Amino acid sequence: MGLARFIAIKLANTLILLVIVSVIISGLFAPVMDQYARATIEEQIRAELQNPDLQRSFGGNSTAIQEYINQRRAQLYKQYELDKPLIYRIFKRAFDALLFKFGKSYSLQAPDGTRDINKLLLSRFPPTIILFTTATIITAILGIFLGLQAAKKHGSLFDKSLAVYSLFSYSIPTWWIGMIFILIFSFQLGLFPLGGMHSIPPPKDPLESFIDLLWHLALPLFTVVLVSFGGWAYVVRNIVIETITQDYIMVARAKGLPESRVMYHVLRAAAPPIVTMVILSILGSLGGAIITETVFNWPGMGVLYWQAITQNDLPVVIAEGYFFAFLYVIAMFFAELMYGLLDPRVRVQW
Amino acid sequence: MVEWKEIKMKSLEFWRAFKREKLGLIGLGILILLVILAALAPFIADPNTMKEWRNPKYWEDNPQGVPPEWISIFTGKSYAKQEIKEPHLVKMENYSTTRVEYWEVKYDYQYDVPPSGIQIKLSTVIKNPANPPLLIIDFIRPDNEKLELLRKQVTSESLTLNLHLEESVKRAALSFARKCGDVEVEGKSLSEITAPMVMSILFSQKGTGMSNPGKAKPLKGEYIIEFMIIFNAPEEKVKSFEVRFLGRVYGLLGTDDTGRDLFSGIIWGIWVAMVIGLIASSVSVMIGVLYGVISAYASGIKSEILKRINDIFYVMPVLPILIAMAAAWKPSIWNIALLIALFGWPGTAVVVKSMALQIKEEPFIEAAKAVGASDAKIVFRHIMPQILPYAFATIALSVPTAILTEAGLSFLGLGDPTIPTWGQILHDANARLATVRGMWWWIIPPGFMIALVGLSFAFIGMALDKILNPKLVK
Repeated sequence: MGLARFIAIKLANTLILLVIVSVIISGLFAPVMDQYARATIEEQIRAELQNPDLQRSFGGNSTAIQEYINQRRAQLYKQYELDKPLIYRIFKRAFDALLFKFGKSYSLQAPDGTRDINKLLLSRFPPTIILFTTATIITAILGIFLGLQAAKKHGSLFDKSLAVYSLFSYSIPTWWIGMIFILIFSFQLGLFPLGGMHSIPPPKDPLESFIDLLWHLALPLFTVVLVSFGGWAYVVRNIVIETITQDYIMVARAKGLPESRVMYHVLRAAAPPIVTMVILSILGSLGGAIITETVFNWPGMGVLYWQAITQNDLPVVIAEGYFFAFLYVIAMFFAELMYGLLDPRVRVQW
Repeated sequence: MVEWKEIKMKSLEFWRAFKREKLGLIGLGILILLVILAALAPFIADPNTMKEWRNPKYWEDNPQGVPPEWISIFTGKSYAKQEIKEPHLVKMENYSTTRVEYWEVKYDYQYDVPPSGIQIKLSTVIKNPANPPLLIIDFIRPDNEKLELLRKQVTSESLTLNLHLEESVKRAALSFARKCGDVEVEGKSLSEITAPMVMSILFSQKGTGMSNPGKAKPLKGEYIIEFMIIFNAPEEKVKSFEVRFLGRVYGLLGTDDTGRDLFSGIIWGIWVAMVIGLIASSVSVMIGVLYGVISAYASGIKSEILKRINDIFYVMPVLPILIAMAAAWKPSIWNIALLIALFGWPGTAVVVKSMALQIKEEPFIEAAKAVGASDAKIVFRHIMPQILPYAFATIALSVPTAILTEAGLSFLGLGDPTIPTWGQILHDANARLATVRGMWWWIIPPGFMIALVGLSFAFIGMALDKILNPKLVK
């Protein structure tokens, strides 16, 4: 199969998946959204009825009041499209989401004071990239390097301790390590701030501001890298070992190729899954980590999600839900694409 | 009977292989230890923990926010333990309309660090609420200094007084420290005097620094607290009287700031973690195995649909969805386990599908087909037995993930609120700023236990995986 056709099929699949996923998310939240919309409408009508001019016009006639309420309700239902079937709203919201029309939040504000969700998301994006994408890149480099070393010397003490370490980090909550580090390094030793991204007030000078950012970044970055690189190293080690045991590598060794040439062959064969992992993690890192960000009070996407949940700001919750899901779908697409480019065998299977 | 022998032989063979895996044995050892601890929970920890965890009244008699007893080993100091004493009536004076009762309690103080507080529980009969009895409390130190701590009308028939928090006690302590020449309190206002400072002033040798819990030298000896109660009617009397010297340390793991015994919470939490971890992981692996095998057998459009559904669950952002669901429904622990399972199976399904596809092509399956075995028989008799070992390894390996997910939800305050879980203890610790207050005994043990349980399963799962997946051995 040609590369173009492979890409076209993958792209079509991804688009279908995007549509299905956004319809599902829209459907999951539709009942709550409707409930909230109805409550808002009732509240608005009640507020309107407090208007003294309106009250005078009724003259205490209860049927007239009831009629007014019914009429206003019908109007507002029409305005919010509540008169249409539920399925219509589900699909409408899903397609709005696909076009990044997230609308307005209930209460959370973007930095410019508006309730525009797109602006809100964009404002929380850079902190998450600064922390988690940086952490993912460091982790990937460290993990690939250590994993290769472990695979070269498999069975050695280094290899075994790496395996144990990766199991440790697999079972430990990152956010708990964060709490411990805050306790030790911030509270006891006073070396790092207790949380946040900038000092209050932030320094004016750009250089000082940058140093201030690094100072706040150090502890959360260290925490995330420390807990994640073990798993990376272990997976890379396993992929490489699986490649080393293949027959063609044995042949390469048997015919006397120098070790560096052999490693080239190994890496070329082990690259696709590792590259896939890198892509998935880097795109995944854009979503941040809800709990870790909460512990460090880091104003990123994760904390925003948590704020939206606790303040019952449904549009923001849903928008971030779409965002996280889209991120995964797109990451999968790029990962499969890279896999197909690096490993032509995959293309044939389709 | 032949089959039974076969199973026995296979398990023995498996055990021999497992015994060679050091990590697996360590994991199994930790797991057995944890199960024993959990089984002993009613005897070694407070048996009512599960029921009363959310009831602050149940824990109010404990000292609040104090570290474990064994810290004295590291600091070399002795800390006041919790002591409950009953004052006794010394003398009584009758006048025309009033009766004065003198009560006292003796406290032999031989520690380096004073109690975290003094709590008085006085229950009385009051005749006329408009003219209640009067209570006066004096504090006499071994160096014969006498402080009037409090003068208060007893307006409630059951009165609980926390002396270390009372305004008048703070005032008395502050002026006493000033009188003794403590320069550290010079210029300090009443609002700057904390409970630990009050207790330090009351129980330390006179001199500068006596208000500083870190510097003060303890004044050991016999302390007397004198109570004078003036009753205004003959029917009025003391029903019960108790003085609690609140411990400076408590139990094996200390208390949180509402006085809950953290050791009890941690021990009972083992049950919760195990239940969540095992239910969530076994249900999700079960779904995954079934789904994988069915997918391997489906063909054409059915196979395509199954693959799509798998993809959809695979890309769903699990934690955000779980958080949204937990916030909307406030689920019980069982529902949380099932929710985690509901989103945990796609990975397993993919692997099982590819395994089943491979097995399907093996000659012995073809042979079975040739002799007329049904699909169901082939799946359950020939394919499942080959997949089950992998399934067990996967169950063990996904326990840590399930426990971490539950702990994360609880940490955000979205867990089952009726029972103690480690994530919830950490949630409370975080909400009450335990990190910036340095209350390490509230933060370290719960996370340590999460890691320990996860680790034991991860070790076991790893060993299983190694035995069953020969490529990884060398």
